[in-house]
Amino acid sequence: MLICFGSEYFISYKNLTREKFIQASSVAENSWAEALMHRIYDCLLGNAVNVIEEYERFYAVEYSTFEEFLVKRYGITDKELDAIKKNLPKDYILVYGCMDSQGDYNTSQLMEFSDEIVESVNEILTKGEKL
Amino acid sequence: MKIRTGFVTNSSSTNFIIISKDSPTESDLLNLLGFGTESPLTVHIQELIHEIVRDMQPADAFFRESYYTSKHKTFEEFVKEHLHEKSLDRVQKARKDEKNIFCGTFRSEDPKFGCFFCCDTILIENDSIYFDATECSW
Repeated sequence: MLICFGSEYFISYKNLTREKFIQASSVAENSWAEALMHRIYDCLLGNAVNVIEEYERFYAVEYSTFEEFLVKRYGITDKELDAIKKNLPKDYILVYGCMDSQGDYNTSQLMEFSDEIVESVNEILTKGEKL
Repeated sequence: MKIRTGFVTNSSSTNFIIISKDSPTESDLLNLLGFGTESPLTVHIQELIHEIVRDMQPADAFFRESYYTSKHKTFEEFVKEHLHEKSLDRVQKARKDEKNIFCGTFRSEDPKFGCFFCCDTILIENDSIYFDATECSW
């Protein structure tokens, strides 16, 4: 699940891989659309930070709970925290990324400024998770 | 609704050409790009393809009505200056083979894929269609 807060975002997933993401996107093999899906995958997950791992390795001493860490380290609101918790089942990975810091400006802009595209990407992420 | 909080630039536009034997349909272009009906993104790319098919013009009419006539003497000169290096050969061959050459414009202020195509470099072809949108506003 992709949860966007402006240019920043969190993604929760468990079984998703690049192959599953491409398969879930239902585009033709070796097509321009497939290349685009690789760009979207790289844009979202290429430089994303695993925040659960980050918390456990570096911040567990400083912040007593993971929730406190998310609020104080990433500056999210209570409402945003609720949205993350709601979409973070047990054993899922949670990653953080920022659209503005991705190498592929064009692809990040596509998602940053369209709720509809984000919705469709979420559909692909959800489908890919189930494959 | 998304609120743009970053810097705002002036808008840009870029041009594309499509060469094909027949006038391409929306379905032909979806197929060229590789989007099937099942893809969640198809609905968004379809909006752009609809505009491409609706607004594209025969190349000579496009050139005649554009401001490029003040910069280039012929459509071929325009192609050489603005599009991929192999497109000039394709255009010349298309003229000989009596294929259709269409032109159109992408605008950076268009939402979603319109802006994406304007700001990206795209060259795709299959057996029936040649699509050059390599001109990039960046």
